[in-house]
Amino acid sequence: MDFQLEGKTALITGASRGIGEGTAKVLAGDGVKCVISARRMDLLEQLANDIEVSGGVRPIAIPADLFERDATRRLAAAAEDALGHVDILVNSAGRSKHPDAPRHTPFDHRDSLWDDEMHLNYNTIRQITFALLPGMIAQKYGRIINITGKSEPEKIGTANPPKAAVHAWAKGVSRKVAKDGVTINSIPPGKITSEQIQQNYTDEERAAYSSNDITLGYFGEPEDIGHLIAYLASPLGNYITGTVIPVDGGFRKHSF
Amino acid sequence: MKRDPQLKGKSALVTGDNDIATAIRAALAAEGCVVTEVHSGPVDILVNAAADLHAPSSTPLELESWADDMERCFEAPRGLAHSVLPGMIENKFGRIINVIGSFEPMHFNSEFAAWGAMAAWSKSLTRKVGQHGITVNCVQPGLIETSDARAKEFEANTIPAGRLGKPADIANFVVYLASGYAHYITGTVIPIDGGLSRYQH
Repeated sequence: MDFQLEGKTALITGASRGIGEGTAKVLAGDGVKCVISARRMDLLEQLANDIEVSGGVRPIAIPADLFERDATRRLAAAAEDALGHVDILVNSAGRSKHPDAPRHTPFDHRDSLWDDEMHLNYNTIRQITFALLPGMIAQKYGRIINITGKSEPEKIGTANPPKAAVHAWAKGVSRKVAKDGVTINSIPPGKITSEQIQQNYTDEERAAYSSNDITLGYFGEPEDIGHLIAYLASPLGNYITGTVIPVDGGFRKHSF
Repeated sequence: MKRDPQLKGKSALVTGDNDIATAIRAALAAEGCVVTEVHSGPVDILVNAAADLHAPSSTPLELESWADDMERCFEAPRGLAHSVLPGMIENKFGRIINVIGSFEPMHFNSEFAAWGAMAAWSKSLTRKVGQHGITVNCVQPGLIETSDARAKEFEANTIPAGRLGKPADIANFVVYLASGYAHYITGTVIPIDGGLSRYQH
C-alpha cells in the first residue's frame, strides 16, 4: 500500500495539538512537506523537531492567530510562499466548545460566543480554502480535508451550527472544482484523545462515553484521523469528494 | 512511501462476479491477503460485493414481490456476514465491508429498498460486534467504468468529476477500510462517486 504522497505539500491548521498534530506526523511520515500552523510557536517548533527526529520531512512552522484580522489570507499566502504551491489543505483549527461558554445556560449565551464559533469553525475554513483553490485548480491537483463534527447535537452548542455549515458549503464546493482534480471532504471526529478533550471532560465523563456511547468502547487517537486524511489527500482518493466520513468508533447514532 | 496495512496472511472472502469485486480481490491479494470467492473456513475480512449496481433502471408497479431483490441484495449478504461473525468474534478481529447502491434513486427501483436495509442493518450490527474489534461499513460506488455497458448510458457530464469512476477507486478504499489504519471507522456509509450524490450529511 503506497499513498504516493512523497513530494506533495500541505498546509495544516490547528497543528500544535490533537488531530492537527497527529495529521502532521502522519503526512510528514509519508513524505509530505508541511506548513504547520497554530498560535503557539513553541509547540510548533517542538513538533517540527519531533517529526524530524522520527524520520519525517521536517515541517515549516508558521504561527497564526485566526482571530486576527486577515489572518487566513496571510497564512494562505505564507504557506504558498514557503512551499511553492499547496497540494493539500487540512482545516484542523477549530474547537467543539468556546472556552467561555457556560455548560448549562441554554438561551443566554452572549452573541459573541456564537459569532466567535462561526468565525473559527466555518469562516476561517472557507477563507483559507478559497485563498488556496486558485492555485490547486491551476495545478490540477488539490485536496481539502475539513475536521468538523457530527451533525447530531446533544444540547445547545455553539459549535454545532458552524460545523454543519462546513458540510453544506463543502458539498457545494465539491461540485464546482471536481473537474479540476480538486476534492473536498469533511471528517467529523468522534471522541479522540486530545488536549481539548482532556479539558472539556472529566475522567468520569470520558469513562462514561467509552462504555455507553462509543460502540468500539474506547477513545480514538489523532493518528486515526490522520491516516484517513492521508488516504483522501493521496492520488488514491481521487474519486472521493463531497463526502462526510465519520471516524468515531461508532459514536454517531444515525445509520446513513 | 510504503505503508504496512497489516493485511498479510489475513483471509478475505469477497463475493461477486463483477468488475468491482474482481478489483477488490486483486487489491487485497496484493497486500498479502488470502482471498476466496466462496465461504470455506475462517474469515477475517468479508466484502459483500455481489450486488449488480447497474441493474435495470425501472421496476414495474405490477411487480408483485420484491422478495427476490431483497434476498439477493440484503438477505444473502446479511446471512453470509452472520455466518462468519462467530469466527471473527473469537479472533477479536473482523472487517465487514458492504458494497451497496446509492440512496438517491434515479428511478422507481426494487433494489433501492435493499440498500436502505443494508445500511440500517450494518449500523445496528456495529452495536453488537464493536466490542469484539469488528467494524462494519458500507461503501457506495457512483457510476463506475465496467465491462457492463449499461454504466456508459449515463452522461459523464452529470458527474461533478466529469468522468466515471474506476473499479480500483473502490478497491483501494476497501483495502483502506480493511487495514489496521481504519480500526476506528465503523458504522459509516461512504460514497465514492466523484461528487455525484447530492446529500450533504
